Amino acid sequence: MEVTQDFDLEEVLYSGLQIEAPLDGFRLILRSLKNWLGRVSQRFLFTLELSQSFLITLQTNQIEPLVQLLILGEYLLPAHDTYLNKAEAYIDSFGELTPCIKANLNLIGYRMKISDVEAKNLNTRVMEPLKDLEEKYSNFRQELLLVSDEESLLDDKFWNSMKQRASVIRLPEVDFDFLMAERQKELREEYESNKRKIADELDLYRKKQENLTRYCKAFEDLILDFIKNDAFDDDPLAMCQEIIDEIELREFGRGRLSEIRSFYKDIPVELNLLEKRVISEICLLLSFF
Amino acid sequence: MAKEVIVLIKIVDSGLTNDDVVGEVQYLIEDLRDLDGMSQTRFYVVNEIRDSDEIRVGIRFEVSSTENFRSVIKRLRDRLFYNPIETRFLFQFSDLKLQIQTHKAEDLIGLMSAIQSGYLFPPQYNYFLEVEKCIHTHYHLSNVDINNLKLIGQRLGLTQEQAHDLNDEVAGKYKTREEKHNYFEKITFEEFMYFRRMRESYSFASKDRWPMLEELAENLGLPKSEAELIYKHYYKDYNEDIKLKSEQQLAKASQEAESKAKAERQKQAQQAQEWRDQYRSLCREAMTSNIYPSEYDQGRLDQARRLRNISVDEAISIEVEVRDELHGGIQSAAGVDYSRLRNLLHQQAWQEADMETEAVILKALDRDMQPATAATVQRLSAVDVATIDGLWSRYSSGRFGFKAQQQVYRAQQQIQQDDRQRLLDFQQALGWREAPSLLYQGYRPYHDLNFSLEAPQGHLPTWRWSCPSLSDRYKPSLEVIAAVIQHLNGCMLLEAAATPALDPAFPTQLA
Repeated sequence: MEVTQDFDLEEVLYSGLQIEAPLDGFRLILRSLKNWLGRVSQRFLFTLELSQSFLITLQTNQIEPLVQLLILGEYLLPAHDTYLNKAEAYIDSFGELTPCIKANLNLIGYRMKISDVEAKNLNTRVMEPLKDLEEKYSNFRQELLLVSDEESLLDDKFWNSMKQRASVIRLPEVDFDFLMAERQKELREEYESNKRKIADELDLYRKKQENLTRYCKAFEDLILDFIKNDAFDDDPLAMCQEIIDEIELREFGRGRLSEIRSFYKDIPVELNLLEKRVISEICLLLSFF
Repeated sequence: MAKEVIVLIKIVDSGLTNDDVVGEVQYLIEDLRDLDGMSQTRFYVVNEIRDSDEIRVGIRFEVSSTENFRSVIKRLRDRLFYNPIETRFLFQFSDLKLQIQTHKAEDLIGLMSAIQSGYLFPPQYNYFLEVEKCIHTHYHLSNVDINNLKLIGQRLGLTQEQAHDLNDEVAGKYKTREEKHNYFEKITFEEFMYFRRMRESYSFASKDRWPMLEELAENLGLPKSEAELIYKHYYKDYNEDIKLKSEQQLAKASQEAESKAKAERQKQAQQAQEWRDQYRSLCREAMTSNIYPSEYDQGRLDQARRLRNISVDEAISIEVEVRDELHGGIQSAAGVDYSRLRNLLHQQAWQEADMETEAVILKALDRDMQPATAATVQRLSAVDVATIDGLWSRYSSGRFGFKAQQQVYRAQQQIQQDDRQRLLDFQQALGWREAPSLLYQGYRPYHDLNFSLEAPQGHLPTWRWSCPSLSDRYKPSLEVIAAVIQHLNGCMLLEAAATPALDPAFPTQLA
């Protein structure tokens, strides 16, 4: 909307306004003007430019001539273009022809003297290439799914291109935003799920490591319960064998050792090697005292 | 048409030469003058200076009848159809001016239709205004309106059909307010139903539906306040439905989380239970043939307990349970330890077990090694009675124990009615006494009793704990026997047997 101005020496006066409205807004605007003119008494000049070919002017302070303007204007409006214009406006806002939109279009079609068959054809034309919002959603979701590269999905460039695609299939902006948010949420969830998977794998590995550690600890406790101060030997292997022999010599120790080995029988390492390592470490530690 | 329409036509096609333009204007005048009712029309030439020459570029004339106006427009359209030259048309209907600049014939069709309808000019135009006024005031044509309009139509010289068509044209597709209301309500209902179905099928962005419905009310000519009430009613239902579904989803999610946590807790409890079961199984393995695990098994159990995070107390409790299950329980209400008795019985050391039985019973009765009397024996708790009986019975396969003795007494009851004699016969049946003779009462020395599984049923344990002395013979008093039988009947689960009468004058020992 622009305000036109008359310059009167010092003062700037608003003398009128100019509105650019879609074809289907013609009736609404004239009705509003009619209501407004009913409340004022000044004489006004109305200029209507309907496409490049038609220009209507009316200078009046009466309501009646405006009705005449409405009648004439509606006859001059290109019926199909006006209908299509309205239908497209609806589709741009709501993405499909809902019962309410169809009812509105039906009334417009009736006023513009468009037959039911013509209206149906125009409706089909305006919904092309996809027949309803569900199909648009499904189509757009599939397109989003085709891109599995996480980085692309976080990129503004990608979303701008998708926005263009949305406008091609006449997907309203609010729906585009919704689907974008939905996909980004899915993406975050996928990311979280992958993270959890990695964490689970790490957890499994950690549990295996913990098992090893527990085995070592159990074995270490056993050794510490059985080790003798005079058992130190320069040869760790010999000393290791001595301690094991000592444990095996005593029934209680043998029982404990057997239980440890049986409990950790699934550990995928050579238990003997692990036991030797534990004994060596204990001996090394004790040798400092 | 009450007033004239002033028409101005000007050739503005830049592709034409001045001569062409002048020629076209001439042909135009001739063409229009040729029309019916136009021969008397005065055409004024519109001149313009082009290339310093004043030339004819158009014409101006007045038309005073709708019929003529329609013919003029039709002829102008036909001219453009056959000779599409850029032309500017200016029509002035009183205050209204319409300018059309085009070279296309179809651009004149709209104007032709408007003229054809007749609504642009009186009398239809005046009638149209009246109908508009009525609709604007009442949102529909009431019966009063229709009657008034009928009169107005007649006054304006309209036929009934013309008036009816105009009423329809202005009132729109839905004539009455009720029709409009019902239609709006139907569409509002369908609209919300549509979204309900959509919501069940897929998730989508929510949008405000009111502007569209408001537009419908406007298109129908239904008061906004009325439409808003209908909308609010359905919107409330729809919203409540969504709210309910969202609450259900939340509840489901929370239930799932709770189930997950419960499953996790169950898993942990299962793991702990599994470990306890493993430990119990190890205990059973270690104690199947021995009451106490060997040193090797003790080592295994000790290590198993550590590896499975089982506390010492719990491990002991499991061991006790398993031991009791495999070798008989040693519960005591008096705090007596029956483990030695169990060991001796496990070793089939019957005589030592009998002596241990005396020791534990006297301890349970707190008799400080004084023999139990008929009065004190009643104090032996049912738990202790059951434990002693259970151990003897288990290791003798039911041959020994209090229950076996009770059964023997029961058999005596069937054959001997005399209480005193029954007690004597009972001792005999147990093998505690031999058949008496004239000079021999039949009582045997304690060491002559049979401490083997070949002994008669109920032979062991003896009731030496009630005998003041065993130096001569093993000879429990009849009073004590009667008291013990009575006490056993009170403690044991055998069918109640008649207890012998206890006569104070009853001799406690046979002479």
